[in-house]
Amino acid sequence: MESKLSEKLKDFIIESGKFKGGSEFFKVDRGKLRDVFNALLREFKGEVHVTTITAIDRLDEKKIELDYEIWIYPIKKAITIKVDTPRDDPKVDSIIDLVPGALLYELEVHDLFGVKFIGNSYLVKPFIISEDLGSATPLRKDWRGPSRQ
Amino acid sequence: MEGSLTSIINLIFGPQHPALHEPELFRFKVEGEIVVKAEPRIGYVHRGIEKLFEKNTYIKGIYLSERICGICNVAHTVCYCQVVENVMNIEPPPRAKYLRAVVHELNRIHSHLLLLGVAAEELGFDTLFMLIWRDRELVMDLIELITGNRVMSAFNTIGGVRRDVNAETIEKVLKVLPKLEERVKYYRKVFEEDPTIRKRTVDVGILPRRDAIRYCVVGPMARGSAVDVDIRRDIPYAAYDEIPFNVIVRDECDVWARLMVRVDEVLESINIVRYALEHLPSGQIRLPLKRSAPPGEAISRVEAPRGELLYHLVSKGGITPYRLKVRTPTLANLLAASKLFEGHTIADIPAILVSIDPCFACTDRVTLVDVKSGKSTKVSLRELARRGRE
Repeated sequence: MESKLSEKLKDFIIESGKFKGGSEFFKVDRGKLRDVFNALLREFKGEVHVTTITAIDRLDEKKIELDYEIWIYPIKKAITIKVDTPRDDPKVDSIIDLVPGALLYELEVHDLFGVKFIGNSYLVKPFIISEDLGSATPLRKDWRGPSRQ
Repeated sequence: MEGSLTSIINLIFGPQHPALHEPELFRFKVEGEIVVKAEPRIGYVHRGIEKLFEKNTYIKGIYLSERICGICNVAHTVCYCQVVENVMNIEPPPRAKYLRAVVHELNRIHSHLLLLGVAAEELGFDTLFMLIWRDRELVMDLIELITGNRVMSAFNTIGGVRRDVNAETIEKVLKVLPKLEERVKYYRKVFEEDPTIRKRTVDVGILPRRDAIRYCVVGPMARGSAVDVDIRRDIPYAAYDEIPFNVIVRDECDVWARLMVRVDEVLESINIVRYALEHLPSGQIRLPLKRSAPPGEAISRVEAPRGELLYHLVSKGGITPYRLKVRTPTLANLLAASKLFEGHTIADIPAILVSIDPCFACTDRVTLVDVKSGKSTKVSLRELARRGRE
């Protein structure tokens, strides 16, 4: 099934590998993110679960990496889809019309890292962080706290 | 309808003590007694713990992760220790893995009994609440016996566990389990047959399987909607690949199903604890502690009492994580939960809310609005529960 999955996603994968501990990841171009989800949803009849979206601020590489942690019910398999977006203008297509359960995760990443999800009309700020922090993106590596900005 | 004579009222539910005595706010739009829409507002207890992890050593991270959620603290430390162990390339000894499973299951039993007691209280069955919580003390005593602590167990550590059990402790635990099992079987009969409980929970808050998948729900909420998923079986960790157990799945998709899943899971957990202690491997309980991790990235998933818990660790070498992401189960269930209230009466709100078993401290994050007049009202869960009983 693993080879079948790689085969299905072969047109989109830039890089693939395994995390320590064994779970697989596939890096794709951010412009192809929706295509990947469409392919997965088509292949597994919509039974694809987004566990979360992990954002990682790669400060020295001037990019923010978004890891879509996915669980595929029919094959009982966890995979991660990675996309990169530039740190100075972080944007990626929203997937909430494809997987509505991803809404809170997109709102969280938008609030804490300032990544815009194109097509998500529910993006609000602040969502989780307190209102006095305003437009801060506190989980970015160069954020030093309200008193040190 | 809004703006007409029969308009919608905003009923504010929270943020003080909205559910299970934790700060959360739901804005319910109600038309008469019927909920038209529910909007959660989260963030009241967001404490920036992911950022704190980046500033603290891997060792301090164990205690930090334990404090994300008091109720399911063992799930957090198991998940945290596993993700760090993955990055450090270490495998805990077999005895430690079995002991992790034992304490993880005792933690699940206490969490489920806590919720079942609160559910009984919200349904107006205060005696049942007190009886369940009385019997929950049996589990709390067992947790204290094994870990030395009632709540914050401080049991897991990187590379294994901190305390061993001797034959006398095992004998004491195995002696209490039949008594606990007998009581839980009685509570199962009550939840299954009591006409008042059934009237308040059957066909209330229905989450069809398709929606459970679309909204990415986890844990007993998913299993109560016919979604067959359990991380302990699907991505085995600790000693779950060696311990036989059943995954409880029901297809009624309502509040009752979600409560029954938890009752049956308590019985399964008792069997897991019994099996693990009877088949406890000999040997050491932990490996020498490593303080720093090599560069690398790992993910750990565990089945916490409320569902799948995920930690994602990125290390660039050294004694602190570069990034540690924590996804707690209540956040995953909140979106679907908001849909469950629609079309039900205000009196059903507490029953639906407890069936989610929300833990807002770990998610971090209710308001009622009258559709006719547009008025907002702040109502406590206790008031709502009282109205439900009248």
